[in-house]
Amino acid sequence: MKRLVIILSILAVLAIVLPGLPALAQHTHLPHEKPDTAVRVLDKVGLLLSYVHINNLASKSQFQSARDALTEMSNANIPASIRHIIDQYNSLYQKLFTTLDNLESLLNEASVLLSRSQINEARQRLDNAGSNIRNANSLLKDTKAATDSLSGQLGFLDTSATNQLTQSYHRLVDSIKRLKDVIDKLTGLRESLTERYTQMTKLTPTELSMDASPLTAFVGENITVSGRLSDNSTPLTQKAILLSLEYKTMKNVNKINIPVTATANTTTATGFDGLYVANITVPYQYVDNMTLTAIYEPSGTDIKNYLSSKSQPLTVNTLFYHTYLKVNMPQGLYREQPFTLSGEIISGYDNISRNVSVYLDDNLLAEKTVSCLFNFEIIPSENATPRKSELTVAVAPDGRYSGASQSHNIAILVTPGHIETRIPSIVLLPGSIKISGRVYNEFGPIAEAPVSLKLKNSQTTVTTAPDGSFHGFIKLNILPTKAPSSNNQLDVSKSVTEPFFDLSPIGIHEIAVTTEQPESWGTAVGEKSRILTINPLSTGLIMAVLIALGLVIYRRKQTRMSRQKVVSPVEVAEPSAITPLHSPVSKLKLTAIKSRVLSAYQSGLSIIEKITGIVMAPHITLREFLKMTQLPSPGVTECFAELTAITESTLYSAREPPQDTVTRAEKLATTIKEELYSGNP
Amino acid sequence: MEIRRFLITITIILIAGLILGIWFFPINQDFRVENPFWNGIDDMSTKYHMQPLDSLADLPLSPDSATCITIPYLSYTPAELEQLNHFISSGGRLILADDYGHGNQVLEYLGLGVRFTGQTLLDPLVNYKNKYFPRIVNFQPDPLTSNTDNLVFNHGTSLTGVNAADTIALSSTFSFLDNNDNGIHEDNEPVGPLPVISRHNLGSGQVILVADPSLFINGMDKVEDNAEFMQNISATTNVLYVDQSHLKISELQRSKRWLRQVRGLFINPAGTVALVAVAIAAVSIPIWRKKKESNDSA
Repeated sequence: MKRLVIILSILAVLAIVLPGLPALAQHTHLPHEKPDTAVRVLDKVGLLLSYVHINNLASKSQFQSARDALTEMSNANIPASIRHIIDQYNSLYQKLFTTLDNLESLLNEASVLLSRSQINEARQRLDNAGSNIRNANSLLKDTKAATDSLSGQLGFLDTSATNQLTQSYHRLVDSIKRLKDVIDKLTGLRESLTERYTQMTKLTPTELSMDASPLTAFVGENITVSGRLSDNSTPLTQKAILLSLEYKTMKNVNKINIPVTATANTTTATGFDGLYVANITVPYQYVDNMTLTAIYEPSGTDIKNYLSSKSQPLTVNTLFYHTYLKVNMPQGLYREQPFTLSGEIISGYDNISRNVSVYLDDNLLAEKTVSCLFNFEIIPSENATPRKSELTVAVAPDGRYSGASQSHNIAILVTPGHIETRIPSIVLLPGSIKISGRVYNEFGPIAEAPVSLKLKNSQTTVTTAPDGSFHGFIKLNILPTKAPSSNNQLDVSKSVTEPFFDLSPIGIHEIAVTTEQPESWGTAVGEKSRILTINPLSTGLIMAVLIALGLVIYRRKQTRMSRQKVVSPVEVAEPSAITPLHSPVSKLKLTAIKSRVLSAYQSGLSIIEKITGIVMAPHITLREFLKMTQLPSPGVTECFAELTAITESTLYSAREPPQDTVTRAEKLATTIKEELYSGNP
Repeated sequence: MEIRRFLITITIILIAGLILGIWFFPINQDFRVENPFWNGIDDMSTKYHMQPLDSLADLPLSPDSATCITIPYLSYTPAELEQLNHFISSGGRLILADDYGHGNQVLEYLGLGVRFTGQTLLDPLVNYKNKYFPRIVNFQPDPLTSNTDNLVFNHGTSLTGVNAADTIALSSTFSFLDNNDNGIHEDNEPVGPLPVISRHNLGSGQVILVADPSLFINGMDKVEDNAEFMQNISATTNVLYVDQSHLKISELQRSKRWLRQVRGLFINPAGTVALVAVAIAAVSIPIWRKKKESNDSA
């Protein structure tokens, strides 16, 4: 029965506990996995399909995209054991796509040149295209062989290969076949262009001469250009001549300067004698020289009669005044902190006014007109992002004076703020916590910075003094109150809080001292401290409860002890031992009748102890003592046994013994006393 | 009598043990700032002084240069959507990091054309360990991607309807959206480069979209340049909030909340008085019983 109850009880407890277990064993299925335990896998199918994707790009003549994709494969997660093979394979593809890209470009150029009747240039492109076609075919053959080799290495066609892997491999082979189609298509295009070229060789060639003066000029000056267009010494009249002034300059592409070729074109026409004269202006491009060329391209019905022609190029030396710039660049800038940028502009021997601009990345920080030396007082914007930036000082070109610029990579820094706080560690409620401290950064104390003092929901904001110091109070209540929880006697402060109170006898709370301004600090700075609060009200209540509990426990313990002492005749050895027996008895509120029985037993016991020399130890019960003693006569033994039984009954019975039992006990004690003293029964 | 005492004792011990277990067992729920395990954001929260928000109502009214990261795993109420809208239009920056959640609800409310695709982005080649960890290697110059060469997603997704000018990061050419969840690229499945991080100006604020919130978890923090990305977010804001009110609530968290509510009851004046009264009553019962026994015996 007991077992059944225990089993049922355990089941009941489990029934209570089990519903709570999911609380500890959560089942969340959010889509991410632990990166540390993730398995490293080479996705062979994915690898093959990636090559299919690259080949498809190439098949659509997106050769540059295909090459970019191959370059991106350098980031691929490829095991080191096959990395070399993959690199070789990629290299082969790179060469093939580069060849096909060049081939297509050559054919496009040849087509354009033919449309401009420039057959000699077109011939050159077509010849190069032929060479590229041969290379492309050879590379494609190598690629096919490499694909077979890769298949052998990685087991794409093994019996253990999955169906998906085999299918992917076949898709790769098909995509390579499409590359062959691309080569065939480009080969066909070359053949048609070659045929067109052959037909154009039958047109009449033209001849174009050109002269220019002066051949050395400042930027902005005019040059007179003249010449003659003829067809086998017959002048060609009313034909458009393009005068092209070509120069090399730098162009900024994605913040990188790359050399580019630019042209400034002027159009004129031949007269009745085939002569042409034109004035062209040297553009404000600050380069050392430019190349002047006259070009005739037939248009309209002339396309069917004439070939184009170009004059011999002439070099025009350009003159201008170089501008040099010296700037003292800082290593770093602090957001919202002013800094001085100084420098010097050197423009030959002239100190002319120049326009100088300062940029942080692409944002204009300052601009002004200076003559030679300059100083800029600049404050980086509060929105400047803390990172590596480029500070650029640029002098704009002005007429014959070239421009100049100097750039320098600098770090945009935030001025990290620091807070020092002084907060007491123990506070007795009710009371106020005085919080003081200092806010500073590496430039010194920070004035007028708002400092937030927060304790649970109670918050106070104070403002720092000119020396960066701040003082604030947070009032701690013993009970909830609607009164304002804080004030600041020394500085401007405002409180937007709930009053703080804590009913816990002893509480540990965190005080957060933070400041979020100014923005140049980057992130908010703050410090947290812990305080110990003592609430006397709840402490008193708890203490009262504990004391009451202690008293009850103490009294219960005492009662238990007194009961034990009643049955423990340890003090019987002494004549005065009755008193200790009486003492707990009185605590148990023994009645007079019970006391008389005990006194009778005590009286008989003391005589027996004296006669026998056996003292009743504290741990000996009345019955055990009876068994231990060997009295001189059976009559005394019998009397003491009866007296012991009456005493036990009196002690442990809830009811009082009847009067005749008490009388009997006293009589038995007297009998024992008399018989032991007299020696007669 | 003995059995009764045994059962009461064992029940009290078990309940107390369970309460203590729930109270002290750390939360292991995804994206929680209190979660110190691999799937929490405890590390980043501490490192970058993130301020967790239990309600979007706690967003500052003047959020100039403040950033709020929200992971929309629970849907938003109209009031919450308006709070987000106000936060952004007042100059705040919202980082909406989503993969399979309710991010599109926010985008729709804000009137942006961009959307989270909600399909798994896989990259069989350019990855970290396997295709479920696509490595993001294509970046547009942006303060958020400064000094960042590659990021690693963890079962992330991609964006759609993003203008090239708004795109900050793209997946590799070999990545694709696994629309049918078979782990293999099919011909009709979109291939990379796919936009995964974008920036959108809205009013005087900004919305940054990140197509994988797992970028922020403790386990991913030390992978490649993920920490750099978080550093850039932190460096470009004054205050960093993280919305915790749209994460799924686990049983453990629910139990913890319940215990906190119970504790809250007892630290109120009425609760404390009631607790003291119960304690006094519990202590007084034996005395009262004793007196009653004495009276009975008398």
